Amino acid sequence: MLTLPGEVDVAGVVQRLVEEHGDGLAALLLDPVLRSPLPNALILLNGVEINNLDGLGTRVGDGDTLVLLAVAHGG
Amino acid sequence: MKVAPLCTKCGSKPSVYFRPYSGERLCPGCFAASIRERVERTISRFRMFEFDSRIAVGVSGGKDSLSLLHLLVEIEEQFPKAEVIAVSIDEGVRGYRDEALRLAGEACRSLGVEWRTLSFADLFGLTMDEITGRRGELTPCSYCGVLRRRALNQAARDVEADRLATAHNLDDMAQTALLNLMRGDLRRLAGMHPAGSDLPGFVRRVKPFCEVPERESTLYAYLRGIEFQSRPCPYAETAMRTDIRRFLNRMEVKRPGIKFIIYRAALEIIPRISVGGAEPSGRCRICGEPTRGDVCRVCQLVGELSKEAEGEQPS
Repeated sequence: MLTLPGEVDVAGVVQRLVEEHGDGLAALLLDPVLRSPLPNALILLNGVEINNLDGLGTRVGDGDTLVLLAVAHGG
Repeated sequence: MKVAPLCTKCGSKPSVYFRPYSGERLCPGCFAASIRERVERTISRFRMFEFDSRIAVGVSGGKDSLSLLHLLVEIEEQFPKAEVIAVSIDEGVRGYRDEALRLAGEACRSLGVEWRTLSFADLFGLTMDEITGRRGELTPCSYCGVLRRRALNQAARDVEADRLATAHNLDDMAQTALLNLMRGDLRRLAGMHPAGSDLPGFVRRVKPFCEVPERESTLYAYLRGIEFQSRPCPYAETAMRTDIRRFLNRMEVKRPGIKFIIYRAALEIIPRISVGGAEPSGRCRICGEPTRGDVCRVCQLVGELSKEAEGEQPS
């Protein structure tokens, strides 16, 4: 459960999570060059992958469920 | 909230996934069907199995291998004389492999699949944690790759399999192609073909997931509710492969389809590579396994580690 002020998009939620959970989560989710989660993570908002919506700019509303799956590990 | 468009395949259900390299938007059912079709096509194209193959599936407990196990069990139902057996290797990475092995065991029980495990400790007298503590200039992945390959072959032989299916995905294939080009290692580039080859002493290795992108393997496991390993290997960051993986993942975002292009280019190049003496010509004088030289790579590495443990300098 994450409480966020006002209107926020997926990029804002990811930024907040990284701020709260530190370098470990950042290393897992964010590309070190682009500082973006898109290359290394699969992100679903209410079961829909965000590239099927508006990407990192997809609006996140009250009660929405955001799933972040690190792609680049483990076979 | 924005509503997702309808699936471009069935046209009736809301899509959940946009496939950037093809432009498709897919609902969960059509997405899962597309993965299965692609795996079946790959198996057929490369003639990976016979109707009565005894298939050892390398199951690590990660998303790719568990998805592959589920799919092969389903596909095998159409071939009553074929068999699927899961084999897992315990490399001995505390806090990492134990979670994965638990998940692999649970999946095998729920699918009714025979499950066999072998450990580095039993086979080589060392765990990966111990190897990492002793190693010299090589990365942990360099040791693990060589030893795991031997262990998987041994496990497949133990269960009398005629095929060893591993869950190398499209990302793995593209990374391996670039990695071997950057190292100038044409022998290994030639050896990455997804159909494998029949070599004396080796169970033929096939890669049915070789055309499934890692993102899609992850989504497939997630949508099917397959529980898979949640954490990365603590030693993975040291590998050159990690640099290439990051580079390719960035490129794939900018230029969708680039991993397929690299993979297909590698398949075009492989038959044109002429590497003399690539196949094992004899047997290792220590362990008796096939090798090109006098002592196999496994015995070289284990021998060096043992000498270091005894305080000697490796020769």
